[in-house]
Amino acid sequence: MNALPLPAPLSPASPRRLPGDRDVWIFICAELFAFGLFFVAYMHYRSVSVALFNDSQLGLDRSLGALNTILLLTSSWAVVSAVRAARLGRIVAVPRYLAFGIALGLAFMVVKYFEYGAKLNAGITVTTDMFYMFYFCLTGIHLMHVVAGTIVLFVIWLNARAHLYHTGNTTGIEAGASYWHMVDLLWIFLFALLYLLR
Amino acid sequence: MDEKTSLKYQMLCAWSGPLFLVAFIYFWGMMGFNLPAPPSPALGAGELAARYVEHLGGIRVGFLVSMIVMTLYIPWTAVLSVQMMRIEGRSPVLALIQLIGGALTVPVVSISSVFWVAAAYRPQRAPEITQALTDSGWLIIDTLWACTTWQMVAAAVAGLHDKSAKPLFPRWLCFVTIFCGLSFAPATMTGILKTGPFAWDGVLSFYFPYFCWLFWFAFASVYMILEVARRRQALDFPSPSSSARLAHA
Amino acid sequence: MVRWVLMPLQRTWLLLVGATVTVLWMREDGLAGLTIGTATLAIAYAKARLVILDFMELRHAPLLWRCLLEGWLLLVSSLIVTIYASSGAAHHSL
Repeated sequence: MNALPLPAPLSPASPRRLPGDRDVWIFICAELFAFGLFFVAYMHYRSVSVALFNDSQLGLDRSLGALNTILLLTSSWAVVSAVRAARLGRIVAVPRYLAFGIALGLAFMVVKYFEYGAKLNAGITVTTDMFYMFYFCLTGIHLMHVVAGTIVLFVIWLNARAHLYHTGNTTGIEAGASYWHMVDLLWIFLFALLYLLR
Repeated sequence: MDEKTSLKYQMLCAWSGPLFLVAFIYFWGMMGFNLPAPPSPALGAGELAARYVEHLGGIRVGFLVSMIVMTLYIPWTAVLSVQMMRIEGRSPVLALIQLIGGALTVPVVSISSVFWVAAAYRPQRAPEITQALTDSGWLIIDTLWACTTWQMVAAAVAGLHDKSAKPLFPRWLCFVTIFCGLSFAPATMTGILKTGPFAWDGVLSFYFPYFCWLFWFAFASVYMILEVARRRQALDFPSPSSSARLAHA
Repeated sequence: MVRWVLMPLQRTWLLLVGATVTVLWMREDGLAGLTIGTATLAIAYAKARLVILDFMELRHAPLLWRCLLEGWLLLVSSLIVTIYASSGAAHHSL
């Protein structure tokens, strides 16, 4: 079941298996469901105030949004590379990839700090209008997930430094990685919906 | 008290779960007229006052009874605490966190209902006062969610450490429990917003989190009842396997 | 070096970053309107799918899980596109 260590890199040749932990995937699915609700709610409220949403959207810094997207995409790449390294038994590389991924996650938070700061300094808050309400609430909730995911990665990094993950034991790092990729996935939508879609 | 009698009381406590579920939805939700939808925070004071006048009987009875119904959470939390203590052993800190969280959930939900009863108490008064009382009720129940979250997360964590042959909660439910406990977080925005999905009548502060809460509560109740039933059966029909199970627990 | 860059994971990353830059350019260029909006959503869908298949590694997972997540992606994307397309009013330029 979940506890059995399964070796072998995932490839077309090897039998299909779910990376990580099935019950963590159930948790991830619950999160995806909730965010699906968020996205649909946003689109619905936007549909009744298109002009307002389009107008207010111009106040967002698209470049920062794109930067954040690239930070998370690269972070995900680093994390999955760490998982692959563990599977291949390249134990030293694992914490290095993870550290890089964590650093990028922290960079995301820093960008958000400046982004929110700029808005608040300009007097734009969660009560400014419906668009900004969604902007602050959705990116805020997502940011909490980035923080949580970074903490998970940090714990995994500590384990990786202790050489816990290797060819026969990758369930833990895979489970943590799958949560992090979910965080990345959600931001792809947030970037498109909040920053770009007109 | 012998084990058999104790288990009888534990079973009664576990069954307070389903009873609470049904009664709460009926009295708090339907009679109190929070279903299909709570009063919108964007309503004018006059409209809100009119809502009370129109549904006065139901609102009064619904919330007065739901305050009593809410106390069913007490025996339910107690039996869950006992079940968690069996998992934890000598220093059951998680069970205690769960106990405190569950106990505090009772006033959070009950006292908010008191405010709505107070709002309905003098229907002819200045509507702004009625509105302030209504606001207070909703803000109490929606911003104090964290107490319940502690109860849920503690139960989930203990559940994950249950190494018995037949654990109290299946592993997937433990993770879903954590998710459900965290699903309340957006409700904090009810303290600021009056429209949209995060207002106290919105899908993300009302329908979804309350659903998650009761969904967890329902599933947890089922597994809690089954666990007490297993122990009762082991007592009645002791066998090598059942005593092994008891030894693990 | 070139070989490393073209390995599957790196290729996926390049596609993802390229797609991000593309949609940003589409927006910066002042393009607007229903077509651009739909294209933006389509690209977001494609990016998300790559993350699911290559980063989450569900490409080689049991079909149940792959279908569950790809199904979620398809459902949410469809809902978003449908609401977007029927959002009447201002599909004008900046």
